[in-house]
Amino acid sequence: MGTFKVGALVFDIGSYSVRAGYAGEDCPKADFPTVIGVTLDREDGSTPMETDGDKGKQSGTTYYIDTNQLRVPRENMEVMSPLKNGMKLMFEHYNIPAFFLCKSAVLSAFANGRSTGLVLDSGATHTTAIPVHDGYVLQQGIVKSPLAGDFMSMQCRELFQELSVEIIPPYMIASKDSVREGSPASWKKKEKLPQVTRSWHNYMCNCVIQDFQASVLQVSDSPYDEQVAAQMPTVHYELPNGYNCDFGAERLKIPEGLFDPSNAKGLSGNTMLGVGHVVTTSVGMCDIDIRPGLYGSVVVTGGNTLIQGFTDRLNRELSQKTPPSMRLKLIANNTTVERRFSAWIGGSILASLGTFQQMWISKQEYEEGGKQCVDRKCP
Amino acid sequence: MASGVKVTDEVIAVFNDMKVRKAQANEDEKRKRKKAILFCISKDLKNIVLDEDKEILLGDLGTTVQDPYQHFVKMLPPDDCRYALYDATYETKETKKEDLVFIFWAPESAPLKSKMIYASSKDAIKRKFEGIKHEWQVNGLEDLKDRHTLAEKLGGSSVVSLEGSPI
Repeated sequence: MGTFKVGALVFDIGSYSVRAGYAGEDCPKADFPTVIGVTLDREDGSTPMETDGDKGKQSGTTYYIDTNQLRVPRENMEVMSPLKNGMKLMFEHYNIPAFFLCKSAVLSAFANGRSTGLVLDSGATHTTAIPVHDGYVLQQGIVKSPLAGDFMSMQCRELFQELSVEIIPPYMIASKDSVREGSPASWKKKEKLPQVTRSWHNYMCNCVIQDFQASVLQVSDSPYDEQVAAQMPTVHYELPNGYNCDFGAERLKIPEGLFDPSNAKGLSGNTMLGVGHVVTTSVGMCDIDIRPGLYGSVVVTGGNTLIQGFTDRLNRELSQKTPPSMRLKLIANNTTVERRFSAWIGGSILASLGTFQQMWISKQEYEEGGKQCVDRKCP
Repeated sequence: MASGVKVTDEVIAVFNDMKVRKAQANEDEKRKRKKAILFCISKDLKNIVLDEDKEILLGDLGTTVQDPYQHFVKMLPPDDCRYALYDATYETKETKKEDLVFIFWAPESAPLKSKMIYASSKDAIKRKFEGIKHEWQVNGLEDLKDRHTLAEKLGGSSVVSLEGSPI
């Protein structure tokens, strides 16, 4: 289908991962962490500092991306996020001939057959509600909350601290013994490990936490209740160093913070909105006539929404917060691929259409028109 | 955000015909007026065109078509997207009315590619349909089967009958 062979790349850059691939394909070829490992060879041979350095000043910089490369322990390798400076870098450093920017919320809505709807995107750093009407984002209705994947990770880290369990990433472990549930771990450290930076070590620890997070946590289908939680079936989890435990009430307690931040640890002077409120506030900021259209198409996307029980709980919260006459429908793709990649897939389809080829912004247009031409051509 | 897909002249012509209620010259012309019609995206993905034979003519009513709304619902493909124009006849307590409704049909079971293309091209076709008062985004049969939903869209709680049948 379609007429020409289009050579276009599609990037969906998030704070946790980058989804990249070729236009026309139904899935991104690359899905890798939004992290660069940078080794800095200083001329004077001194050890580099751990904060993000000014890349311009150093010589002999080597960059490592993608999971396989990143997880090899190397001396002096820092981790940083490439999220700043995007467009300028693309045109000036990489000399690309043309580009186009799409709002990922619009792409996700379109990919679900909707031109009007409320897109709820819960990823690593933020949970955001974006109202889309007739294919356009209603900027004034966007509501953002920092309670998302990274917040969950922080709570998991605190849980392990309370249990006095140390997080030891796999790269350090030479061998481990099998121990009883809840007993201290017994393991041997690898002998010849390079001097790794703190930023890299923390990154590797985060990977361990994130695996625990994805495997163990579950959102309660109604507001957290200690007695109900105590009856919860337990899940057994083993850390890389051999420490293993059965987790019960914590499975529900930790993610409860997403929906009801009032009791969550580490939130001072609480003005945070739970997921349900993020949605209702966003819809509430839009014209009353379009609200039924928004509640009737709530598109749920983002990796953090894959926590078991997330959508059921959200459905319940929204039904309680909206008038009984309000038709409410949540669209949550069943496959992980679609839930994490819906915006990318939408972009891939759009970029491969023959009719879309007239829409690109060429390098020349960008040079002449600057940022204004981008704002105009990519609403 | 648009896909660049274009609307053909025949589509615009059909809309203009349906929009205007001409003082009909003869019965023959009246019978040929469209009650409902579907539009689809051409196979080469470049244009929005008429969906062949997917239409209900006024002349069909009472003969081949008994319940125009149900007949319209049956015309929609269960696994693919479409745009449609439906000329709804309804009554409120005060008066009898006819209004054109623009419908964007994107069922959950349609392929993602289809949903993406139809959703991103909807702006193009809607812009050509000037003056449409009612637009309806429908994503499943359960949204359509109940005539109440359409009645509410047309006039809220004041609508007492639709296509001659009471609500």
